[in-house]
Amino acid sequence: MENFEHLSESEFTELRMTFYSQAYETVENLRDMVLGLDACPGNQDLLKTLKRHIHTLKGDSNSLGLTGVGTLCHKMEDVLVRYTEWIEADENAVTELLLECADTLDRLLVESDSGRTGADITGILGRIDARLGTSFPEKFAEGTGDPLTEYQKLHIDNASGSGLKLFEVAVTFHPLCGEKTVAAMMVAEKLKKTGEIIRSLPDLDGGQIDSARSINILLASKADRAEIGKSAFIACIAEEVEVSDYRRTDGPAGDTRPVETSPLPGSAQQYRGQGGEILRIDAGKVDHIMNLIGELIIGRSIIDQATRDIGEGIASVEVSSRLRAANEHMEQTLSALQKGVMKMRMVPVYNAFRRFPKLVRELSAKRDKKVRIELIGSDTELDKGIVDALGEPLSHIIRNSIDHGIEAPPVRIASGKKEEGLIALRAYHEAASVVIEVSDDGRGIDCDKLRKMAVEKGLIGPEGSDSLSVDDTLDLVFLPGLTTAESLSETSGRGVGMDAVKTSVEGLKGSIEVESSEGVGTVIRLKLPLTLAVIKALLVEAGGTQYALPVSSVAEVTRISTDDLVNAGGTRALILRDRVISILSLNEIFSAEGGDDTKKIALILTMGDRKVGLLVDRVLGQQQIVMKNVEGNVAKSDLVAGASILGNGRVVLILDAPSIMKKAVADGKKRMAGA
Amino acid sequence: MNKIRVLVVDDSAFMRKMITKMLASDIDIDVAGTAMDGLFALNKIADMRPDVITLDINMPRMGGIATLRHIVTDYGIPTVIVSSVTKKDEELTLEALDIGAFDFVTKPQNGISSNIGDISEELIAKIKAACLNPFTRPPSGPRDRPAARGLTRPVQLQHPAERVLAIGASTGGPNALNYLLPRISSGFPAGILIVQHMPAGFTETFAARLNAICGIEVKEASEGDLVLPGRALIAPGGRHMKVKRLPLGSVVLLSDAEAVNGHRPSVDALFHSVAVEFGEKATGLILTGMGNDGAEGLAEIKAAGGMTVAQDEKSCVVFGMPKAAIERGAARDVMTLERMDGFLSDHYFR
Repeated sequence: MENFEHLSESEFTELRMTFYSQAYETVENLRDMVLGLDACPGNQDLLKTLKRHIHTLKGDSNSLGLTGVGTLCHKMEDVLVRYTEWIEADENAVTELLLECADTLDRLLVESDSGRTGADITGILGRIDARLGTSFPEKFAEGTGDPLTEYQKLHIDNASGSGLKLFEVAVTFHPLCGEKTVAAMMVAEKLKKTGEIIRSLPDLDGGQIDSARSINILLASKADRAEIGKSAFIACIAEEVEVSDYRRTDGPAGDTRPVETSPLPGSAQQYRGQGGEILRIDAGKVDHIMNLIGELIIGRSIIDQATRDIGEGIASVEVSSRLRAANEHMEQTLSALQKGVMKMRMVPVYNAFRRFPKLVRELSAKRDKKVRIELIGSDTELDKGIVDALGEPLSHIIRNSIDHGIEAPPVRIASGKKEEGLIALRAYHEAASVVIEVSDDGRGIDCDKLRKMAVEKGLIGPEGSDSLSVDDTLDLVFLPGLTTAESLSETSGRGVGMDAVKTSVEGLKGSIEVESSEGVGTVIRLKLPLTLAVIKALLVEAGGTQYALPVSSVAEVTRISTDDLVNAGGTRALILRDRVISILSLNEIFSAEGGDDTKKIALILTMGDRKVGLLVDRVLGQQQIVMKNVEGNVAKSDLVAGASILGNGRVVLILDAPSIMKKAVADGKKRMAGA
Repeated sequence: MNKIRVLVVDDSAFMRKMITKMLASDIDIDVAGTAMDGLFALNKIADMRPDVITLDINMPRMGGIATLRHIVTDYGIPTVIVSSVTKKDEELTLEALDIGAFDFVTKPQNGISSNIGDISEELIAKIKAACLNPFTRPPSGPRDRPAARGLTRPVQLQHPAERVLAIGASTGGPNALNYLLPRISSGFPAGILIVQHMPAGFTETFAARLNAICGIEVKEASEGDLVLPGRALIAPGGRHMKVKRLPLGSVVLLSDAEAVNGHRPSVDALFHSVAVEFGEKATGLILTGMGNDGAEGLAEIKAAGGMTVAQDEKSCVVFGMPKAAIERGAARDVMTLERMDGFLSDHYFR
């Protein structure tokens, strides 16, 4: 913060706090007021109050430099001026528009509050302008170009009065033309020999010529068009010269027919998908798909031609290579098309993140804690279905962080931490997944206490508790009915929560893990597939049946021999680089004909730090597959996430890696308990 | 010296806090209280008798204008309006000046982090000036309301202005111009060019308000506007205005060049071009205002043979700019505002 002699950093922070708490409240009120007005459009007092609130928010946010908020408020004021008129004509539209404005304001505030800037509001501004435009049919565009100044009008009158004709001379600069300002002066000098220059766009001495592609000169002259064109054309300066008769659009002599402006198209288009779900799609993505379809049409015409050639008996090596090329081309295009269509379902995780700054602000105030939230990578895109479903589990995790993670300010200061706790909400890509991480710098999870509680509640046996690894101990938080909270709060800590979070994340084909260091903080990491519809799968075979597994859940594929298998505590395990990991055999799971275990291949599945080996007979390769839900007569198993039809028409079951891992762990425990 | 006790009136908690913090940076100012609307403000004024009030326009229950009327009639405490930049607030702010507000500042537009220094300085300077200059009711008196007429008249070549009257003003200027311009008759033989220190937007509203009450045409200047007899062009806020003689007449040119004396538009920038282009055909008039903008330009007009006049201390809201010009020896004559219309008609119709 340079240039800041008048306010200290902390004073500025305090100002910001005042602003945001007031602004969030205002936006909340706006919604209520808009809905109130919708119910009772004649309420002038309410309308006035609404206007004043927007006005205040505008002034405040401009003062803080939030010009986006300021601009949008300004437009809302414009809308409100017409409110009564609009609501009579078209009731819902104006209410919806205002509510959308309120949502956008909320979003802008949250973004700037969490340190993000530059949200695009041109879409909504455009829509408002379009609406304002349709309500003011008397407003027309002025025609083209800048309006003439008084002196220029006088000049035109004067020139026409003395028998000169008016021409517009458009000179497009040659691509090799360097010093355009000088070049324009040379053109002007030549034109002055044929008449009087009334104006030039850009201005001849305005300094904008160097970046212009062309200049447009209004000339009063006795010469004819050809003569003027010839004199304006200087080789190596002009690429093209166009001379046309000038028609005034403003004066009495001119043509005053108004030009109708078409409403601005928004930057987003709406697409109604199945089930009435609305997706807002960036127009660029649709354009991309249009291009790809163009490519497909080209491919098809190549194939068409080749087929005809073959039909005419011209079956040659050349035709077949053409076909091969076309096939390759179409394959690439189709895969791009598939990605493109997938992308249409992708929305930024911001849509799930947006509510949290407000939540953190409110909740930390209630708990007398100071907590700051940082949003990182909120542009990361995920399938809309996943993003929509993320809000609940994330808010649970964040509430937990505030309730149990972040300490009260005195405690933090005593332990040498900053008074203000930090919750970082981070999204990033990792291989074919998106990871969403909630980390806090709070007190971390007390493993001893957690173990003790789990034993007390009979969730684990007292014998095993001491031998649990740190990771396994931390995983206890996902067991139903467990909490380390010292007090039960209204929002979390009733012991239901993390297990529910886990269930919903797994429902999204994701996995969850927790990492914690006592006194330093806790990280909860959700790993989610980019999309639910299409997955990159590893095709494997076991007992003569093919299965598919999401590539994202397989860390490595390794060939094993009998020496690698050991018997650990009554269960088979695999030694992988000096680490013992539990294994499951795909054959045994689906009780198919057993192959011989000795020549098997192990898929190493990972979830966080935990690894499980899955024995299969063969690995067939990788493939993009479209996931279909398994319903009806197909045997339903927890271990099956869905099914897909391969290119050769074969149906494969898609295995659910997290469930397999769970089963491996559970089996291990069962055997350990039995042993 | 006792601290200047200020009451900050604004319905936004954020604004109250921000203004308080800005003022707290000055050792001579003490924010003695804040109020969130006009009714609260009037209660507090009765108790605490502040030296200066900063007043928001748009507030619930009792807005700025109604509050100001009470302040002016019941207390006579100098008041600085803190206005936002919207058409409606511009109107109301100019109305507030009519009623008797000392001056106004606009709320920061592009973020306090970048220009809080400038805004604080402006507000502090105006509060100090308001405190030093005894409260004066705006000059008024019978104005001959001209018959209503269209906002613009057709541009005609007949008589391009051969002579120019250039006026510079700052704090107190709106009221001085409100007094002076309606008293200039529509047959005035010179073109009038005005720089009034005022932010963008306000100048357009200001010009429109004057146009409605004046016999001459008053217009916010656009690039290339003709300087015509009986027409006053007001430099738009945020842009310098200069005059240039061209073959078919004189025009004003606007520019976004650097601020001069901390101002854009600057009186010096206008006066300088007037001295160069019109020489002895120019008259320069420097009116009430803080600072010294216009003193140098007025000296140039004088040196080029033009007539130069400064407003006297008694009729000034702030005797800053005229004083600087007089001290420079730039003013051929010094006179009270009430004498100026008479002087001008003598000077031009002689």
